[in-house]
Amino acid sequence: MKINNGIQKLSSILIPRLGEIFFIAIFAAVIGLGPRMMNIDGDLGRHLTLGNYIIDNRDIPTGDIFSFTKTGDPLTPHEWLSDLFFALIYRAAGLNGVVWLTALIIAGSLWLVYKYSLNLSNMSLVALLGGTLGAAASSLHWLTRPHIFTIFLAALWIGELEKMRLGIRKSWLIFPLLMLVWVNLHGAFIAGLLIWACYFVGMLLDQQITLHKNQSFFWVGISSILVSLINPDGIGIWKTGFDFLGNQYLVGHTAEYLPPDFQQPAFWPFLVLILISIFVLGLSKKRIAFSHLFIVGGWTIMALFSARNIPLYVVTVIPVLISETFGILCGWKGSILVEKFIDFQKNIATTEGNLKGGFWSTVTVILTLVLLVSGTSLDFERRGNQFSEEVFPVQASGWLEDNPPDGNGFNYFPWGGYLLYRFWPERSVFIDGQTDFYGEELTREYENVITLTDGWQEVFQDYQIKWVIMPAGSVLGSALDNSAGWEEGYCDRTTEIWLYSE
Amino acid sequence: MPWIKEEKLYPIIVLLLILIMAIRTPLETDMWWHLRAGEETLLSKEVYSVDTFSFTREGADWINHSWLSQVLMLLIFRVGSYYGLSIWVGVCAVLSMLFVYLQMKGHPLLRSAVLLFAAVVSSVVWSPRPQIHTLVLFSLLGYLIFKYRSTKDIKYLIGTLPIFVLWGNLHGGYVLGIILMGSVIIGEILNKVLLNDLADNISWRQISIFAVFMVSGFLVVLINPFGLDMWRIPFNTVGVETLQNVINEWASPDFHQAFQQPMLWMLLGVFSLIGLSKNRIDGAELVPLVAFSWAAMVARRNFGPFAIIAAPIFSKYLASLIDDWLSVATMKFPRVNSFLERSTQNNRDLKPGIKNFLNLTLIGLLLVGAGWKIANVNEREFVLQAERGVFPVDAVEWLKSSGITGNMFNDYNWGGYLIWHMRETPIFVDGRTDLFGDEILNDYLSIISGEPGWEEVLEDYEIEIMLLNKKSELVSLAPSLGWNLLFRDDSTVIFSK
Repeated sequence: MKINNGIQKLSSILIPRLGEIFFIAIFAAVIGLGPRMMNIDGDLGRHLTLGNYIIDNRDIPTGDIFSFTKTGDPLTPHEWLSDLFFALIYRAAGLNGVVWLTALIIAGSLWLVYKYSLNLSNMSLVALLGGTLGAAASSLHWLTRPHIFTIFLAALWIGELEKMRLGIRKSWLIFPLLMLVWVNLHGAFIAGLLIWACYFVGMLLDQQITLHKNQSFFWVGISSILVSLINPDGIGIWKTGFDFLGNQYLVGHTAEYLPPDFQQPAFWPFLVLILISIFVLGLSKKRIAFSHLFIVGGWTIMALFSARNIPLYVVTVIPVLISETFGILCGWKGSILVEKFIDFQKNIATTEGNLKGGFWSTVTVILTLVLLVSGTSLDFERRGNQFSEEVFPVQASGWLEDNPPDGNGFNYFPWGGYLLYRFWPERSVFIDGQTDFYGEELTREYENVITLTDGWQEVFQDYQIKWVIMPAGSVLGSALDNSAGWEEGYCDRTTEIWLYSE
Repeated sequence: MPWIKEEKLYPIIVLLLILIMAIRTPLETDMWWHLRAGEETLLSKEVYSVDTFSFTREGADWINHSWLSQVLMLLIFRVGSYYGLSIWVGVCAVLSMLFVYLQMKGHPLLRSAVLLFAAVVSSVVWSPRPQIHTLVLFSLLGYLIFKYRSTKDIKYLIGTLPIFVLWGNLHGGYVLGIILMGSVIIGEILNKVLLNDLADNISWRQISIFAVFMVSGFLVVLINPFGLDMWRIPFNTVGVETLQNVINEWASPDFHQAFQQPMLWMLLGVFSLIGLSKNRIDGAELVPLVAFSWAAMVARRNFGPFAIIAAPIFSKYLASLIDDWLSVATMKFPRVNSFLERSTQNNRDLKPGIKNFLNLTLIGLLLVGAGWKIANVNEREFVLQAERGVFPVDAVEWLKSSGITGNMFNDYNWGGYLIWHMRETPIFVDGRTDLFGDEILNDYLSIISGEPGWEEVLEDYEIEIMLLNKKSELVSLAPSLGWNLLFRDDSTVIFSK
């Protein structure tokens, strides 16, 4: 009897739940895409440099220290805590550690999507399908940048709000605590307040909130707004966010803020989700709750405006869609196939109820870190987690170290972060990926130079540019080839460097 | 008794507003090569199908799927010049929206408001080109399908066949009609299999008949000068990979642009309304809605068909929602009821004579507005000024008077204009993407973006003149590479080797 009990106990630990398998699969996929995640976006270098500065100086800078174009100008460090986390894991485990942390956060976010979908539908296979579609749609933004913390917190936030809506959670105190962390991790903390607004207004319309009922929903928002002021820049963090979003030029010139391009297959899973949502809403026999409608409608609009919102769409909308799908399937109970499917789901739920789970995911996460730190390449292409020579000026930076040019350098915008990572504090950059800080004027000057718009030479004179680093084959390079005083100092497949002499 | 009843007054007003909206200065970049192709067809009395306009594809066969539209447009242009084309676009826009209105449900005021919304969404594709005929035929087809589904009368399906014959000669967009019929069939099957609680489902036999007419429609498209090649056209066009890099209308929507946002609001509106409805949507509405939402998301040129499909669904569910809310509101708040009764009574109290006067004045004012717009946007000096903002008007005049000859590289968007206005000079590229294909379009892109090796590509084509947009990066690069600046104005730069 004791042996049987022991075997049962061991089985309940060793047999993974579906959700755990899903977590491990996503975690492995993100680890496998490590080099891609690091090299699609140019800002990782900047985040690591800022994080290292904070650790070394025990100071969160509120003025620019990285560029020679804006030195000392007021800066809102809206990602300082993320940068600190990235720098800490970087010091402990190098770039492998950064990828590992990113994988953990992304897999955790999608697992939350699965879990909330399951809670709302009790159908693990449908939740798994939703989670998988969500993973495919959001994979474009699996990047090593602070945005991942917002994805995770948005998933957690909406799950807890839904619990409050259903009356499962009574206390609202967790929300200001989450907001305190969020506001210091990433500037998109406003997403949390938007989600709250969707729920609050929706529940008012659904008459789930009245003067006498559910007042705690009101305090969620008020306390979170107040707590959002606890950050190094106080209320300035709100102003920075709105100033940037209100500037059409900057938003239109920041790649991640551009709308999804459905001609690209990478965006098709998101398109499929939109079409599924039309199907689900159309087939549903009951009226959708206003709070859910605002979530689905609002985040669809946000994601269609800016592709960077697709992961937030995934974590907020998918549980709602799965819950509505459950309602539709229940309406088809007359169908034998549907009934068999629902019975099958019940069996899975009963089996999973006896499982503890957590063992294999813990083992996978720890073992992966150990393997990565020991130097094993776990990415799909076995390239290792490093900055790619084909994307960043890796070799050219070596040449710059050996042949340091004098004076200010004009750099390709997406390489600003990498150049800081390699050369700061010895060298500052012309511009890097923090568009909200550099503003419209400097970004326009940068654009005028790289597109050779009339007056581009004056920009070089104004900033006393003595050297230029650009991708090989750029039109600016062609122009410099034929400009007096400029000569090519270095050239490889990725990079060209020009030097100016009087 | 008023001469124009209320239910007719609202749509008349909205259709007149749509006419005013749709009447614009004809500035479409492709319009000119369509007119020139129409002219060649009329002159030779043979459909223009071998390229003579460009030096890059000279002598190549071209499936001119819009030949009838081109002839029609040319005849209108000959008779009415810009005025004629402008009015023609307006009439087509009104017709396409009229057929949508006839499919709508709800109070005429609500239907008219939704129609205006649909018109705003659709307006991005109103231009003097064959595509406008697709919009009309698509809308008419939708109306016939709607009538068949509600009356089960086969005469409406028979009416689809001449539509497809005409479509096969007017524009390659006939495939949208096939997709519409196919998606209705899938929707009806969905109704039969899963949503069997809908009251007026059509029978399996009726679905089969519908399918037979869809196949017949696909077959009668072959009645055109290019026969079977007409079936290849949609694939040829969509198969050009560089399409979305060169042509804005083939690109995915950019909702940062205000003029594209109405589509987004309509999409949001439709799915909010069906979400708030307590009824299941009809499968034959749902599947086309999903199909054309997909199409509009992939290419903004499909905003028109999307609006045509979405508007009747929008009005149906909005009307039902308003009814629900009003019934609740009148029960809960008696004042709402008395307000509604009072406003109806006020309307009834108005004497027929005064009603007629007001109605006719309103319609008259809108007609005057339409006439004023037609006269103003097509006035010669206005058109010239507008063209200067879009085309290299003065540069073309300068080139013609200079007598300079040789192979000329031109901006893609100016190709059509040059074909009409510089008849003796073959162009490098124009809007006939299916003719040029990826090879020429990629060469064009590598030159215009100054990619490494762009000068060699120019040399391969023995280019001696470059007619460039002033904003082109080549303008700064060319002088240092031995190109001589011949002409420069606010929009255009001409270089020669």
